Order: sequence, then structure tokens, then C-alpha cells
Amino acid sequence: MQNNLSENPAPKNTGKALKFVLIAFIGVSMASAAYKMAAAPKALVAPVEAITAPEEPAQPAIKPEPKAPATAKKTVKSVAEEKTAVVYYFYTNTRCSSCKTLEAYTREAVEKYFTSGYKGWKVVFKGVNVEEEPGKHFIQDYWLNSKSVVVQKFSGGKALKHVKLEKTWQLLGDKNAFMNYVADETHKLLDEK
Amino acid sequence: MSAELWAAALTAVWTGVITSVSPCPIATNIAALTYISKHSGSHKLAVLLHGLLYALGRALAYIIIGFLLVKSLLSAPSFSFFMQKYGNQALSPILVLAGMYMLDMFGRGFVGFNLLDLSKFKAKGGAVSSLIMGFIFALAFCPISAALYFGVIIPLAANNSAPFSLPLLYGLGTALPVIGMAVVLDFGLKKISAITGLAGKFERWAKPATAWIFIACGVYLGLKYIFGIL
Repeated sequence: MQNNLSENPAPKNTGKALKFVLIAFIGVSMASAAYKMAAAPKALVAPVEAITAPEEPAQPAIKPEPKAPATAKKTVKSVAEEKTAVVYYFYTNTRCSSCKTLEAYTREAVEKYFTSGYKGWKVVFKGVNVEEEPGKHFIQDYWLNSKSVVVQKFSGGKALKHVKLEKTWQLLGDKNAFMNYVADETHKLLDEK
Repeated sequence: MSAELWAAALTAVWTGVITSVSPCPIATNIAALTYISKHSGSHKLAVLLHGLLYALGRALAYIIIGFLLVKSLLSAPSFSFFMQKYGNQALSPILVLAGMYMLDMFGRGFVGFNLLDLSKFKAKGGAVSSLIMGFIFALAFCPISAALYFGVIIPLAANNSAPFSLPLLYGLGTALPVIGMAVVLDFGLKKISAITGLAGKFERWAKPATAWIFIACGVYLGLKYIFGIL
């Protein structure tokens, strides 16, 4: 290649230009990566899921909505007894096609099987970015390794048992099997005492 | 070997194959495929040998990580997310530089990358580069490889007391589709060469083509993981 380039001036110049373009790309890439790494805690990018996710608690605690004074006592009691299961989808800022599929299937499974709840449990889907500060603790809480689906049940403000759906990535090629897996694992968790 | 261990071994290989055929590692798979296939024509078993060394490189990475996890020298979640975020970012300039080196853009006398392809030891140097390539590519974790390796293989290895064999089989599994395609490509190219008599031409184009594919893959990874454009 070098010999070919040196045979006549035009390819030699093109070769040089390409070389500098590629070196510039490497330089800018490395500088950008270093800058992002240094500014990581400040860089909060809100992907679509963060906006579209239902307004459910990110922390294992359910805060009661403020109610009118006349019904306050009753409402506090019902919130304290409210049984909720949150189907979490944990993601990061970097998106990939498989991750989007994983999220879409999980969301669809919740919508298909749990619209009207299950045996008195309200089941909701929630996407959480574990690279953003409010969601970072979930990595250690649930010992996450990647984009993951976790079902956590709550009774009132108290977090109860949870299950990490480890087979989601293996079932990604079969939508029905994936959705049934999410539904079955959620049913099992909610059936447990 | 017990039936349970056989089942675990098959699961490890199959999980590796699933990891490899997912869309996420497509850039590294293409780069590996072209690099391994570039040796077509040099020796009848060269492609297979480079493919196996590539697989061994990948397996080595998974074995070392597994060992560090077992010894609690690494926290699986922290390491996993770190490598998913920065592994592919680091791979971008490495691939571009490797492509530029293959194109002799640094000049023929440049010796800066001799560590990588050991060109001073040409007789066996190329093989070492396939091994190193496999090792580096395995470290660039995708969400699926992280989920399956840390979530399936490591627990499986722990449950079966097989901290070396199962990560090894998983590593081989992740390389199997690439090796298979490289062998098929090699066979096809040899057939075409025999029919058309263009054997020399392929070899002449193999190196620059591989180099440009490396550069393209590096640029792709940079645009996707560093600049977030793709």
C-alpha cells in the first residue's frame, strides 16, 4: 500500500489525508471518551423510557399521594395495605437493538397479562436508568450485571421478595416464550406468601 | 463426567453461540471473520488454526475474569457495567490503529505494534495476533454477553465446581459461528480460485480489505459507544 501510494502524487496525498482524518478521529474519540468519563456524574441523559415509564416508586417504598382531609385516614390505611408488584427494566445510556426488544417485550407482557392486576396485586412496569443517580443503587441492590428485568413486590411502603429474571436474554429470540416467562415468574412471586 | 456436567457443558457452548449470533457483537465478529479469513491461501489449515486461536483467546479472557470473580478480586456488577461502557469505547481506537497499521500508514519501518503481531517472528507471529484479538474482543462486553456470562455461566461454573472448563467452553461457543463462517468462506474462496485461477489476486486484496474493515468497525464502535450517534 505504501509503495502504491508513493508511485504517484495523487494517491499519496489521498493516503496522507486519510491518515490524518483517521488520526483526528482517534484523537477526538479519545478526548470525548475521557471528557465523558470525567463528567460522568453530571451527564444525565434521559432516554425515552424515563419519560414514558409509569410514575411508580424507584426506591423500594411507595409514597402515598396527598389526599383531601376528610378521606385522609382511610387513604393512608389503603396505601399502607396496597399490594404492588413493580416489573423493573434496568437499562443504561447506551442503547442497542436487543435491549430495546427486551424492554418492549417486558412492557408488553405486563400490559397483556396484568392490566387488571393479579389476585389483588397491582402490577406495573417501570424503566430505570442505572447510570443516572437515582437509579444507580439498584446495581448493588439487585446485583445487576447488565440490562435486566427484576420483579419486586411491595406491601404498602415495605419491599418484600423479588425475583431477577435471568433467562430473559436467552428467550429474546422467542417472543411468546419470553412473555410467558415474565408472566409465570411474576405469578410465582405473587403466589408466594 | 456426570450427566449434570455434560448438560452444563452443552449449556455453556450453546450460550456462547447465542451470544455470538446476537446483533450486538456484529462489529467485532465481522472484524474477526475478515482477519481470520485473510489467512486463506497461506496454508490449507491456516484459517482453522487462526480460528481456534481466536477462540482460545476469547476463552482465556473469560477464564481469567471467572478466576478473579471467584477469588472475589472483582465485583461482578461493577466490573460488568464498567466493561460494557468502556470496553467498546477502548476498542474503537484500537481497531482503527490496527487497520492503519495493516495499511502501512505508519510506514514500513514502524515497529510500534510489533508487540501485537510479532512480525519479527513471522513464522508464528500471525497466530499470536489471532489469540490476542480474541482476548481483547472478549473484553468488549455487550449487554447480552455480560448478562449471559455473569448471569448464566459464572453461576453454572460455581454450581458445578467447574471454574475453568465452563468459561472455556463458553469462550469457544462465542467463537464457533465466526470459525464456521471463516472455514466456509475459506473453502468457497479456494474453490473460486481453483476455477478462475485468481488465487494470487485474493491474497493481494485480503490485507487491505481486512484493514479497511477493521477501520470501519472501529469507526462504527466510536460513533455508537463514544459519540452515541448510531
